[in-house]
Amino acid sequence: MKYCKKCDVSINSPVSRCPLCYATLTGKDNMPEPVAYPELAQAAARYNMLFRILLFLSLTASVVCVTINLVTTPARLWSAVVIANIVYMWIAIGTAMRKHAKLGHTIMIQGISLAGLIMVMNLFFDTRVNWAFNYALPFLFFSVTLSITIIVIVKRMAIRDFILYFILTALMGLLPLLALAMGLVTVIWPSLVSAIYSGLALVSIFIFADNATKIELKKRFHI
Amino acid sequence: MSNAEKTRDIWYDLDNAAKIFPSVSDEDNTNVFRLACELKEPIEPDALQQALDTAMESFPYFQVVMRRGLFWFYLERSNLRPAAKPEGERPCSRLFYKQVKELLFRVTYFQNRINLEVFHAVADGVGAFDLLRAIVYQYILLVHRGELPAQPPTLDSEPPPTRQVEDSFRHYYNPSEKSSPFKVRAYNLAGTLLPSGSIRVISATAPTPALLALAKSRRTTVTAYLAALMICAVYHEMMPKRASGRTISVTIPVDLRGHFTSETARNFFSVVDVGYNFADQGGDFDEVLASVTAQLGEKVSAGALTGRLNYNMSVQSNIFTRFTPLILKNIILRIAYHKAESATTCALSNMGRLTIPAPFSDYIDRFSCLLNPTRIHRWKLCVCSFEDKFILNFTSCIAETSLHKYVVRHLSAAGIPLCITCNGVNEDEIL
Repeated sequence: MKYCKKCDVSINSPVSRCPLCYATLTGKDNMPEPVAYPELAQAAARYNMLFRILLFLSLTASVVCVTINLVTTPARLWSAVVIANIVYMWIAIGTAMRKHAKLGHTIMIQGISLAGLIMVMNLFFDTRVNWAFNYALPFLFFSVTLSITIIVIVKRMAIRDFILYFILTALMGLLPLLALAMGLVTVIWPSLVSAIYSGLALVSIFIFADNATKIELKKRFHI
Repeated sequence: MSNAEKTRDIWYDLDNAAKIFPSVSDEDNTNVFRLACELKEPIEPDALQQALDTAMESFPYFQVVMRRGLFWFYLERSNLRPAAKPEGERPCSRLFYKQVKELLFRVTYFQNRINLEVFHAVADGVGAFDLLRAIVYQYILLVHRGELPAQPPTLDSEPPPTRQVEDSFRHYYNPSEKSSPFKVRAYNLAGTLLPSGSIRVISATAPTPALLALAKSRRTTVTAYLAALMICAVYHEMMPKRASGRTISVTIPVDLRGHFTSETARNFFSVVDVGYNFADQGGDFDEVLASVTAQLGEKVSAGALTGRLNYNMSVQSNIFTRFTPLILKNIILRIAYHKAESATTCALSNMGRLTIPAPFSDYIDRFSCLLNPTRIHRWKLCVCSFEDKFILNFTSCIAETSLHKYVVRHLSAAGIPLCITCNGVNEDEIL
């Protein structure tokens, strides 16, 4: 046990200076003081070079494209599509590299970000035909719901883990109906396919749900 | 259906106080607290594991993992088996990661000490102490069976499982009597931050009777005395002149089980804030102490506490809050938490007298408790007493120790003999 004269306290840790006032301690005896906490390995600071290079390249590409776009063809903003693609790439990398990624979660994020990319491309690239609302979005939502359906059927035990994403993607599949009602759609059948498939998927959950699924639904959607 | 699947059917929604923690926790703001028990002999790992397994049978509520719903987080029962491991991380290190299904408490050991660290969304200090006491009880029963009487006294602190999981906030909620706590930003501590993920722990041990006598001689409680002392420490050691108009306030959790009947292991506490503004009032310790004592007397009453409880519950029950998707709620809660935390300067928690029945207490040197400091509450004090030892555990995430020095020197000068221990903080890295 050591002693700090200035603070008038005894110090029972293996230190040479007072942890409170930094004064030199006087020793009462030569018994070594016990260590109160284990010594910890210092965590090395993470520095991901590849990540930083990619980030810098993305930024450079965006700036260069916007500049060329504005100087040469200011009437057509094609650089928005470049930026949208870069943003999509980052979202895709982000979800793919996640340590504890959940398949359902990843599929849903992919669906949402692809939908965003498609809308930007249609808006800035090819404005004459409304291919996004007519074809691309309905088929995207259809395939997202379909892929989750397949997973649920193949991995029978996994229903509980996918139920939230199954319902959310099925609800997304109903969105083309909204676009239809707003008059954004000229080719009707893809939207109808997406909406009918999603609607049936939602109904199937309630028809086939066993007790465990009902409990899972209650858990996931409790308010 | 398999057993594991059946277990998953059991779930609990988070109680009122717990709802915020998963949204705001990260590497530094872990919202983990530690309760520890120091025995008089080194810990035997195998016996500890066995004791832990036995103790868990009486505390099934702690056997949970955090899951995400569309609107709220919730706790789901799990079959994961808690493992007692050697202490290998800094105290109160992170337990909760989004998307990870791990238990929300850990039991570690170091030399003579058993540590129980708990994520605050699962339980509060009182609920967690029942678990620690059960582990220690089983451990001593196992290691010292031969020396104990044939019929050792039992623990009366193991409430039936249905009572453990009760949400007492909901039970006592009465929307007609709510009082909104109006809050202004208090002075927030500055100082040199330690590298992310490390904290400084300084413990002071004092004789309990001497400290009680000191508080009694000033006609106040130990909690009020320490709160006043913390306020003065911040004012004299940290607060720059330009901020002197700001109030310095200490937030103190109050166990509601003392005011309402409840045996829950989940959170059931409220907080009271005591503040002092040196620009408006006199500057010496006696005046601060008188003000803090008066504030605590007024705010720690069943009436004043229900107002706060009802207000917090009404926010949670609000229809807009309930139907906001979790992804947005996380952002809103983070802002609200930051704002609420900024309304106070630092935190003080008094766990009170911790006990264990007689022949068992002979094997125990002390119980102690630690809080995790945050980027706003950079200095926290958690105190408890075990028999004649009163343990003050300071935790901070700043390099400066002048605040600790102020409190310790004041107590030394008042005639209280103190013994200090500390953890190792690598000074070269910060200065």
